[in-house]
Amino acid sequence: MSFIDVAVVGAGIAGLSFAREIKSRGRAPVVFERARGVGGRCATRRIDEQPVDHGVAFLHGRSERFRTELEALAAEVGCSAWPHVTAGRGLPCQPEAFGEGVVRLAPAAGVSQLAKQLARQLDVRLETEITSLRAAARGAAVEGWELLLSSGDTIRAKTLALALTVPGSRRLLTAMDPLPEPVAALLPVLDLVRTLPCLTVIARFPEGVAPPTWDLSLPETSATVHTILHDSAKRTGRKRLTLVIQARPRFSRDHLAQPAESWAGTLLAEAAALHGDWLGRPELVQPHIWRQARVDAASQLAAPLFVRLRGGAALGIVGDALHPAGGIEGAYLSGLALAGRMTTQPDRTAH
Amino acid sequence: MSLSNAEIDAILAAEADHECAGFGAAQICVKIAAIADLPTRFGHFQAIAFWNNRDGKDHIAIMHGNAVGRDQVPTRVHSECLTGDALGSLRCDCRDQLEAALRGIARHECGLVLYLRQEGRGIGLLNKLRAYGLQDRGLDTVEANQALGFRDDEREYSIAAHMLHSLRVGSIELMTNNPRKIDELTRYGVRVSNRLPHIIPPNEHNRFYLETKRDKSGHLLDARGKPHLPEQGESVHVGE
Repeated sequence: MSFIDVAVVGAGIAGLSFAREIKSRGRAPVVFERARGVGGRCATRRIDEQPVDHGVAFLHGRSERFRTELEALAAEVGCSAWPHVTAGRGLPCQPEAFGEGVVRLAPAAGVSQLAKQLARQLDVRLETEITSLRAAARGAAVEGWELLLSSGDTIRAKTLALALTVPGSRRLLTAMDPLPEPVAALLPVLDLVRTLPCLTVIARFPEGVAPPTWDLSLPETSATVHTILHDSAKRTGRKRLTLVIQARPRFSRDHLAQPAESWAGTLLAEAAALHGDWLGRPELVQPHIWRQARVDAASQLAAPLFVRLRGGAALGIVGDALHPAGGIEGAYLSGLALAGRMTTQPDRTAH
Repeated sequence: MSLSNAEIDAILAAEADHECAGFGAAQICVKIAAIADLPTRFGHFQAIAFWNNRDGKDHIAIMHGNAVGRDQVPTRVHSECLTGDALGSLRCDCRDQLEAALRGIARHECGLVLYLRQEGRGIGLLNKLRAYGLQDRGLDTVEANQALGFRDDEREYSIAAHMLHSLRVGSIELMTNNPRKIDELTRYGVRVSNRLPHIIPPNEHNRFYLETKRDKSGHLLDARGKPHLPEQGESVHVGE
């Protein structure tokens, strides 16, 4: 067993933002990430070297703090103001992204650049899944947390921050045995959060196909397609016309269990019906399933969860669900908020 | 004597150009955008509406007499509570606190109730009802209330301080039973010259809570088993 100061589970924007902030406040975090790269739903993949954002499509900021972060990103990597042209009058998943005074930004190398920037000075262990948690208790006092890794190793940390989706954090907590009472008391709060799935299709089109004039399509009439993103419009240099089609939550939920070919075909056919037959004839299709793509805005919580147990162990929960701003900005701010609370409220012990 | 039309026009004209770095960590800046007479069943007031640079929540100062530029103004800071203030909910003491404050300032030559509209997205009515829902199931915890944004006190004091600054109030006599509120306001540059105990007269609806609260501390349950919460952050002083 090895011992660390602060364990952060999940290298999405919330986990990275928390880790960087708590590090700047003198603590020593280690971030554990199941995937091969950082960013979580702030995700970019490469198809024949061309970046494609198949999760979050662009970054937008309203708060001073996040806008400063976006400015720092734009100073480091090539970014453009994006999107410019919207087709359709449907409601975007975050309507406030299009409000006045909001900065909207797309890095040419993909939205995951933001995660890479946050992770730069951090100890991040990739491809390391936490399979279970245990409270390191002595009598009624909980002194820390034991994290069982997929490698079979065990790590012990005094402070634990869960930066997963809410169902992911909940799953790890409920499986704890024994479950400390102050931790059990957090579960009903997590149960208030509703997440929405999003079935996604990446479609690349043959050379010679004229790109659409819009960056973003929000069809108000479609029961299946929520958004179509003109992803290649964000790229510089040689590029192939690539679109990302995102399904509506209801359609996504109804088709989660079905084979990707069936729902991907439905979404492409619907996109073709909306914007022209060429959309139904991609040369390459990659489906992606986001089981927890986003948080139902009506179930958004206002602050990260934080408990300090008798014995000194501390547990925090962050994420886009735990800040009123929601989305990437909410994830980022919830990480900052938890780091702030952990370092300024050291004496509040639960129960 | 309330503000005359000429005084109102002068204030609105001066405030139109107001711009400052804002108060508190959230750097909230407010400015007076409308003033109107407001006769109520508790006395005759003027309502002074403040625009703010952060969200669509228009905070108001309810003024009795003319407190602009005055010292030692009896002042109460009240946080909006739709269920209590408007609907008369028995789950909290907000309505009693508000009524006592309005009647209280009406007895003085001048006075202010700063009515703060806190119920916005994420820290709002919806989340309050979700917190009540948890309470109904016996799942009421401090942490749950915090995650639901139930009462964000820091924000209240910075906005209240800015409002007093805009009204050029030199010092206040704060109507509160909570000395911590004085410290918080002082932190934002408000001179608190005196504390006025906030005394609530009993009536048929609140007598049970008030008398029990006076004798005990902590949560109370009403006849339907619902917790009755001191949401305005006050201990209770009962008057006749």
